[in-house]
Amino acid sequence: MDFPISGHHINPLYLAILGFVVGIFGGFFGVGGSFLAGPGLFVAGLPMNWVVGTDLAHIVGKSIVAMRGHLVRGNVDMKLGLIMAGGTIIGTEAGAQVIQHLKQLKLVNVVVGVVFIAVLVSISAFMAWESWATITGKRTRTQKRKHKDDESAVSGFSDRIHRIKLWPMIKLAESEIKSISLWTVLIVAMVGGLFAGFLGGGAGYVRMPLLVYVLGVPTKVAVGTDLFEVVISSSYGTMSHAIKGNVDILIALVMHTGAAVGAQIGVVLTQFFRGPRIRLAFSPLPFIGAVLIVYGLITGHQMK
Amino acid sequence: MRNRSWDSLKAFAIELVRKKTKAEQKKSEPSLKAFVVQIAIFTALVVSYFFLVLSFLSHWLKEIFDQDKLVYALVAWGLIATQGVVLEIIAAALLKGVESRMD
Repeated sequence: MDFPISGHHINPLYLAILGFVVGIFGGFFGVGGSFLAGPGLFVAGLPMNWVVGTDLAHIVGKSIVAMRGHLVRGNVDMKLGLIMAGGTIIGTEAGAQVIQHLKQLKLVNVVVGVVFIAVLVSISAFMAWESWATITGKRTRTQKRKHKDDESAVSGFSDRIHRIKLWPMIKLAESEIKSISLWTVLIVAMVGGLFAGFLGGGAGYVRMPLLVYVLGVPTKVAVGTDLFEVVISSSYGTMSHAIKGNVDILIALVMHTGAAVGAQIGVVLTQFFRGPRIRLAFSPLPFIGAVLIVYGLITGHQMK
Repeated sequence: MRNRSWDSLKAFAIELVRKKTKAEQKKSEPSLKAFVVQIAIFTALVVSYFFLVLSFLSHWLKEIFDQDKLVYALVAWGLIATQGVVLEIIAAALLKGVESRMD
């Protein structure tokens, strides 16, 4: 079927199924799912600038729904989320500007594709190592967190971050953080926003690990708070990319219909898994996305 | 009359985002059977809806896209956000309806 806005031909059922799969992961892991949605759109034949913008748009509706699910379960640290919002918006706009520049240079597919692959493979490897080390007890540090079911092999790193006394210091009661520099929080938010604007989606694949490992937020709160940021970054990113002509909202609407069904299933599934196991289950997914992009870049072949 | 409908709208919005107690969360967790029935009905509704979207909105959106990118950006955000919220409300109402029929 032809999508007149981007001028591309894609099977709508492929989009709905892609949205459905991404919706399950989004609801379950608390990430927007762009590690699969972006590569999925790329191999369907969309150029990277359209992939980034359209993926951001489809995530708006899905993340609002998933965020509400976590909000009523008490998994969102509203104070942390609101503080991060400023950094997220600045980072998202910066990412969108880089895409615009690359579009003019006609380098957007190669540059975004290569960065996407590097980021996805790194995240996949790190999360697999960390969660496996935590579950099997081979921790680099033996320190345990307050929640016995939410230990982390690298929780010592977040403790060192908490000791950086750079004024102003803030307290995040919901995240059980007694004192942390405001600048650390804003930098984490900006990095997340930059990835959202540059690679599309909500950038939960970067923000969620940063919240857990750098800020030391408990995994369940990190999942909910990350979704709150995804709502902000995807909303701002959608507006910014749509003005720049990078959003095919019809593709996004079709993908979201599948995602809405998948998200219902994903949120319910979170009740049955503990912190490190959620992270271990998440770890191979970014790698699958990387394989799809490599396939698209090397062969130039598009699956329709 | 207007005040009453405003109050009920406000109460509905607050209820939608209010942090639930552990007991409320346990009560609101659907039984597997009700959840599967809800997902089946919801899927049918969503599939029929997306064919409506494709046939009615495509030309209108293409025109806006060509004429004014700012308006297009606002409409695009509004459409996807509304779709998210409306589908969520339908899903919640369906689950309630399915569970009350099963009781």
